[in-house]
Amino acid sequence: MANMEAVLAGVAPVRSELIHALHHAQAELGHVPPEAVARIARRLRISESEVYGVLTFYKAFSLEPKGKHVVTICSGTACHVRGAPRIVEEFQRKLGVEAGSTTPDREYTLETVNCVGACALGPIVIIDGNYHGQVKTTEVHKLVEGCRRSQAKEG
Amino acid sequence: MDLNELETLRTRITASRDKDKPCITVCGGTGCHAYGCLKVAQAFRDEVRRLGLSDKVAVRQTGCHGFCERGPIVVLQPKGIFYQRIQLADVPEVVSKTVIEGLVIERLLYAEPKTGARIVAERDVPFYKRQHRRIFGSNGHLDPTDIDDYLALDGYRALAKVLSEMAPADVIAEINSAGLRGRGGAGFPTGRKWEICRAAHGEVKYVICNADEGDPGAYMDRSLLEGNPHSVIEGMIIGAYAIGSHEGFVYVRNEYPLAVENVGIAVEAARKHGLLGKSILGSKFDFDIRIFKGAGAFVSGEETSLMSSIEGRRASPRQKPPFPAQSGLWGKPTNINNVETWANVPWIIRNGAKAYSQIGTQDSKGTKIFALVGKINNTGLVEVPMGMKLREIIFEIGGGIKGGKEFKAVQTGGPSGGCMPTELLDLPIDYASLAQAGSMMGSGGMIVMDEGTCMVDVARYFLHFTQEESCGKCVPCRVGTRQMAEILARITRGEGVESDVERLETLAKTVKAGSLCGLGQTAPNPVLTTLRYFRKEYDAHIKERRCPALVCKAFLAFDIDKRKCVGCLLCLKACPVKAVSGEIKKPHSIDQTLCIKCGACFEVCPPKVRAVTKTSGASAPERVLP
Amino acid sequence: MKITIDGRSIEAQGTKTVLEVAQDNGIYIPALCSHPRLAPYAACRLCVVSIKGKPGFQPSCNTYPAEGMEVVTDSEELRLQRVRTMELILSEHPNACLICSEKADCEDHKASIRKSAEVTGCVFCSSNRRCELQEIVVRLKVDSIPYSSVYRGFSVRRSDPFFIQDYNLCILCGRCVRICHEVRGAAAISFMFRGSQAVVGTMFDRSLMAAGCQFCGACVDVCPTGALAERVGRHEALPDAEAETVCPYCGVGCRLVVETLQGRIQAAKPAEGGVNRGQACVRGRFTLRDVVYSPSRIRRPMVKKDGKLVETSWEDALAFVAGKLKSYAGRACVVVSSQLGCEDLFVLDRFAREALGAGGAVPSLQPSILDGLGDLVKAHGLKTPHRASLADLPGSKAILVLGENVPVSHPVVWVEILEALRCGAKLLVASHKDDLLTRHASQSLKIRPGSEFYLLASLSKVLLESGSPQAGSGLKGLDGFKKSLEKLPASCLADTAGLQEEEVRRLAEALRCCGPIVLVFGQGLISMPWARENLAALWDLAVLTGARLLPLAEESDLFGAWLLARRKPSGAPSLETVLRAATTGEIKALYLAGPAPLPEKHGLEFLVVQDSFVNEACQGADAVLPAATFAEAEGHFVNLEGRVQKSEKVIEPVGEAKPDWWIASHLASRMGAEGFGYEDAGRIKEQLDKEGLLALQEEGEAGFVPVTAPSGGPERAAEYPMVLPGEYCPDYYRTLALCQASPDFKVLRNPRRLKIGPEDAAGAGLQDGAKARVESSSACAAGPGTARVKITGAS
Repeated sequence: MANMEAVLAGVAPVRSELIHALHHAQAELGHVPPEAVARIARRLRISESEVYGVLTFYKAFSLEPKGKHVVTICSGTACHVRGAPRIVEEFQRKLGVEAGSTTPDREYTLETVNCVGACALGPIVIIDGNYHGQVKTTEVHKLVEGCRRSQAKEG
Repeated sequence: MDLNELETLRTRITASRDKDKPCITVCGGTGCHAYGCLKVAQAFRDEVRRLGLSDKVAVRQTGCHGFCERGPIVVLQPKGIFYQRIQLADVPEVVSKTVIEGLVIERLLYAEPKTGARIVAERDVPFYKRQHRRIFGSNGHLDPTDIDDYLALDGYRALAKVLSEMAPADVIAEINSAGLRGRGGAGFPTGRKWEICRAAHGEVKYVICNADEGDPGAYMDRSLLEGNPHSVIEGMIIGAYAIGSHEGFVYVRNEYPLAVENVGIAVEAARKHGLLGKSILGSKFDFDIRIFKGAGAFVSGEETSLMSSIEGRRASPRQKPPFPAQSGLWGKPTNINNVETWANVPWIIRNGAKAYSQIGTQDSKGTKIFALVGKINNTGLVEVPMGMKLREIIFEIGGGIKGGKEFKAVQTGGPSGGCMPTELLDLPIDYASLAQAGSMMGSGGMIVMDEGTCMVDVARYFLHFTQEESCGKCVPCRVGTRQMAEILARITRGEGVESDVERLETLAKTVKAGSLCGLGQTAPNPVLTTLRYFRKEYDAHIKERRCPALVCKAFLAFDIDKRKCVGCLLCLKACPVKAVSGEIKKPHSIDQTLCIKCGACFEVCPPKVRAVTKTSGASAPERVLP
Repeated sequence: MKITIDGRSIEAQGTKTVLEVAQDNGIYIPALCSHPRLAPYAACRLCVVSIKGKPGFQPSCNTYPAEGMEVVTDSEELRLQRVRTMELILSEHPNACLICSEKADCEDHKASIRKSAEVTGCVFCSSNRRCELQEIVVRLKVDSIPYSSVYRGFSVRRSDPFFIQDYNLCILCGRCVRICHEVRGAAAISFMFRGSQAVVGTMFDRSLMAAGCQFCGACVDVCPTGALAERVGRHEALPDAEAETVCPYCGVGCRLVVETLQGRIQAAKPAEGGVNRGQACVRGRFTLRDVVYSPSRIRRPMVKKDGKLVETSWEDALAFVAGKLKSYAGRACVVVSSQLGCEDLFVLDRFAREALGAGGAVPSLQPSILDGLGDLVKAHGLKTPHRASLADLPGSKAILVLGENVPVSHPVVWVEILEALRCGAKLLVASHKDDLLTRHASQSLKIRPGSEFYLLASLSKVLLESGSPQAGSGLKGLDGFKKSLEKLPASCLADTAGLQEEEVRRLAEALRCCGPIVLVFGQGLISMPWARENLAALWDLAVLTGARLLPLAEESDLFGAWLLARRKPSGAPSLETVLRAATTGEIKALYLAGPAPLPEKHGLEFLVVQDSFVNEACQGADAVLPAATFAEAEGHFVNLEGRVQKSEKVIEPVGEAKPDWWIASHLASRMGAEGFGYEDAGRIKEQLDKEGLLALQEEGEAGFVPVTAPSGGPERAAEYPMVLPGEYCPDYYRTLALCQASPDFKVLRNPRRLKIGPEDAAGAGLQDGAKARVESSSACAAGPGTARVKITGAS
């Protein structure tokens, strides 16, 4: 993997660089595969189990590559009291997957996050980086369709 | 650059800026990003360039102003005309009418909800009027990526004063007499914390800014870091000088990319201006800052977990003692303070401890920034003097409950805090009184809840949160929070039993007394406070199988009032499981066996008609379980 | 300092935690995650106590006593808190039996119904009646669990050798993870995921083997529940007796507690005290039982009758062998393994000299590093540089390791090295491989196999040039040493070993640090023909830097054998001369009490094998005499520090095996030699002590020995271009290879793999996993020695 070098670029062989290296791997490869864990372990001179132990502790790193479209629903307290759980249920029904997983065809990843810091717009849904504020359950259908159509345009 | 070179630069900057040159400031906080403020700012620049006024009119993208409810916010300096909810279409009109001709556009002004009166100046808007924006105020006046803006507002003057006139002990004495306490949540006196770290033996010491801010519903640290990074950096340098540390970290949460970027730019600029690195401002004091990006773990906001995270480990906390001041990062003495605490330091040094301690109560001095969110009209960041009453913050500044609904409770302190009912609205906001009420100052999240919020569900939400974010190291927190979350989930699913409440109380006591770190010790607070102030709702769920706030799905029933239904098919189309039947113009009906209680029909039914009824408890038709 | 616990005034120092002080004074405080060898972790929260002046409960495992501290360990409040915490722990643990009201009756009536696929209650668990949870449940009188129980439903992991992992029983106390990270340094397992999903495991759920586990068993020993359980014997009843022996394999001499049930070995656990401080390695911990009860044990004496070995009584066998041997007096030799006890070696040596007239018993492991050092002492009349003990390692500041893969060959030495690293020592390694050693090294040099001499010599040169530390000044032979260094060709110093000047300078810098230095070296250093030159260079570096030497003896009594061999006027012939003499027919009789690579065609007329296990030599043997193993006889072993340790008799001998000294003394007396009437091993030991044979007195003064460049260039280098460094590992007991004795061991030490550099592999047309043919120049290519070889793809 050519971009494996990019993962280790500028990573000093010191244990405290581990999270820095994992961020590189996540950004470069979209997830942290076994190959990256082995390379990072050898560079930082720690065991692979230690790297995997740290990798699975933090939510920022994922073992599976994310779907083409990432739907993030804020479930911070403010959005929760403004009805975020209903939105999550509706998306789960529409995409057919539980929150925190990716659709079998690797098209959509549905995840919840605790507070994106835009509470005035709660409940808020972010699809591929664009924000949708004060979403209602009935609008979920429109959002998913919009995403499919824009993907059709690209594809 | 040394001390007087700094002053000459400052005078050169202030001289080059004439006071009354019009400047269009556009709020650039993350909240307004969601509204599309970047496009608005760009539109203003294009418009000014199109009219050839680039040298006469400045456009500045600032950090967060605080009034997120009314974003995108544009304030026209120097008069301070406050425009809110600016869309792209309004840009040409604002430039031509207000900037050039000086006329105020009525429709863009803030309208007082009750009286409808239009308010022109930013400082007269009720949201801002009763605030005391010492720390957060300059957010609206400077571009976070431009150090000159900060220097123009007396930036680094405090540092210059410290390096030239004050010995480390004097700095600590000043902070002590100001009565500054930690803004991270526990409120430990900052001066004493620095003293202990300074006294700890050992050459290498670390200074850390805790910007993990994991509390959901709290984003004041974020807006401070994004909007005014230099104030935090200046505070850290002064703190490091007082403690004798030469290496600092800013631990920023992974979900704050803009903050990481702006702090990075600020650190780079500070280094270039000789404010960071070797012999700062020509003095013998060296200090540098590294930015550490967190990786998504609420527990890494706890001191010892944060240090484990920087060391490249799992963010599991370590038992104290030893306290970080004696043996912290890599075993060296370490001082950790919250973003807002650091940002207070330059103000204290510039204006003196006496001026600082005039505001606040006996034992909680200065101001505190709260994130006023939830069922509130004016969602946003408010900086109020310690001791202000909850009622004043929520109703005067916050503009009361959204949609004219009934206030029910306000939650402070995030997952470690508690919910306070209407009776405690007159509680003054300070460390002691919040603790007495069973809650906690926390980082400053203030989530307002109305009659449509079920307190049992809120407790379930918080326990589900802490159980998911627990690091799993110690038994009471790992197993205790899961058991409590399970019991609460059962109650909200309508399967609560009599002994659940008593079992929750014993669990809460065990987890609170047994847990190793703050997360576990405070995780039961939401349950304890909801039990203490909203016991009736628990009984309603358990004994009467009813959710008074009509939230818990298990008790809900949606039905159509035949007399009111006009047969417009709206709910029929909206229902995801085809539970609604009936033809056009004829009253519809809901098949209870199919209905999954998603509430879509209730939402689409036109307010005038209001035929769909949402009921809970005994009156709900008996649901036939599939 | 003075503290009061429950009103009792107790004296305590600052180094022990309140929990340890309480336990030392017989005060019971429940604790599940603390362990004397591990840093305080404070996760189980059971050991909470109240301390006057401190709010709430304080974990006693993490609190150190302070003057006048008042501790309360038993109050109603504390008891309730502990019971509540224990209820939480048990809600995630199969607790059926723990809180069953008929628990007491069940003990008497139940048959052993332990063998079950899934542990749903203590009765089915291998740790039943030796589990710390059970003890605490009884002490705290926990009789109900008011919460919904959770069974995690992990499948039991059986894919690894030696022990199984059933993480449904795990209470996440972290002892296993911590001991693997803090004490053993392998970090093969770690905590995975977070919160209630947290679990102990390896990366991507792979096997422990793939994660680099060395199967030292430390995690199994510290696990308070049945989550980690030994595969062999986990369904057997509890042991009814135990005895403390010395591990028979490598030279460290770990003390092991061997548990037996009705006189039959069940398991071996590392003893707390002793040189190994509660740690052991895979060999000592898991293979004793497979070795002692190996099917290839020789049970009765056998004598060859018309071409076939036939079992006879001891009487006939002794008479036959003694009679035959008498006729070969003066033309016979005795070979012994140095894994025998000092008593056996001493009597066998006397038997060889007094009864057979041979020069003395010939040790089977030759050359040995101890002999090498001994030769230098004899040649130059100097005292060997200061000898290090394992206890010196933790206090040292720099440790240089040469010619040995310590974590695999001497794991307990590795544990002490890790302890030193934690206290700030620097680990310097010169090796041709990339492994656990280099991972922990602060500086590791890649040198070509067998070229250690050039590194050692250039280190001394660099140190001398830049003003050597005074340790070396004024000592005998300094000028001779300097001159001999100059004679070495300057160019070859760094490049033949494949080193840059800068690296050697940095290594020398690390050796100049203040504080004690230890040079750890093993058999690999002397596996090339120029062993003497390597040792001389090492000797001088030690004298120059004031470092101590830690020779990693390969076999458990190598030091003992060396001590006994020193007293002979003329040294016994070397193993090579004996083997050559056997083929040419110079000697007619051979008495094998140890492994010797005997060629098929030999001129011997009479061959006797005295061993515990059947081996190839037995086919051609005229008589085979069954010897008792270390577990079946009392004996003394001398470890690599020179420490004499007693090994108790654990079980009765298997079959009609007899201790080695018994066989030799009966043969000698039958052959007419006197003074062999020893009744038991104790008598022999008395004689050894009387003659001070096991005492190590080193006279002469310290000094330098001149060094000479390795001569005798690589013979037939053209024909055999590559060097195959031998892998020294005492994976055998006498003549039995552990891979043969224990199937699990074979899985761990898969010998069938060859590691080769990428360029060489390309040169020989080999890719990963391909079959390879190895042809070697030296006679015993199969043996552990370093050899010149030619490697080609196998057809």
